[in-house]
Amino acid sequence: MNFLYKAFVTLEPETGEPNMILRPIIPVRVFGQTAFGHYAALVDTGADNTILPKRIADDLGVELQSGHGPDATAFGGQAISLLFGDVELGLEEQQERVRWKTRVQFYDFVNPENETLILGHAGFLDYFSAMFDGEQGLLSLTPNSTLPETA
Amino acid sequence: MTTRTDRLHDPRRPLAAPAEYAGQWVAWNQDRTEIIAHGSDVARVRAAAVAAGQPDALLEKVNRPDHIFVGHL
Repeated sequence: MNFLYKAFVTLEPETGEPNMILRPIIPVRVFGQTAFGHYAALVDTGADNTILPKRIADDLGVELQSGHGPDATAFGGQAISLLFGDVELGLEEQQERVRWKTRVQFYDFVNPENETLILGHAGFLDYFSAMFDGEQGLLSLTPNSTLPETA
Repeated sequence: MTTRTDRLHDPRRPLAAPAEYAGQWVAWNQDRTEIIAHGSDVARVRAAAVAAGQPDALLEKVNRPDHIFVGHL
């Protein structure tokens, strides 16, 4: 399954000048107990886990549990308190579809402006062989033998 | 060799949302050529897309141009 990176305009941190960049942001379906949604999500090899906004869990009817372990830590040392819930995730590209059950994490963003979806190793990347082609701006994902369940 | 300009302007690449939607969620139509709903609440934007007959609309959070992603939430 091949996904072209998405283009964005950002401001260069050093100069403040506008710059076009590419990010591996792909469409993923999230199925809760009462509804499903289709979201653009960042594939992030630096993230241990798959993390979605809590507002999505509330909207899709995902039952959430608190964890008993330590908070997650983001770049810069920011502690992040996460919730846990079971969903099905799905990818589709042309005629190929995969869908699997997995446990993911949810974060209650204080400011909705900061909401984002992160597809990290647990729940997502662990189930694929991934190639990030920087020259083409293309992410290739091939399901591996650990993909839990495909409907 | 593919140049940076070639990559950025590949016509198959998903369209960037207009800057006026920065900080909001947008719902793209099935062809991802048109924004059919937008707002700050992802649930309301999804509901608006469903009401518009597009339950599979792609929901995207549009980052502000000054939002440089380095892994913080």
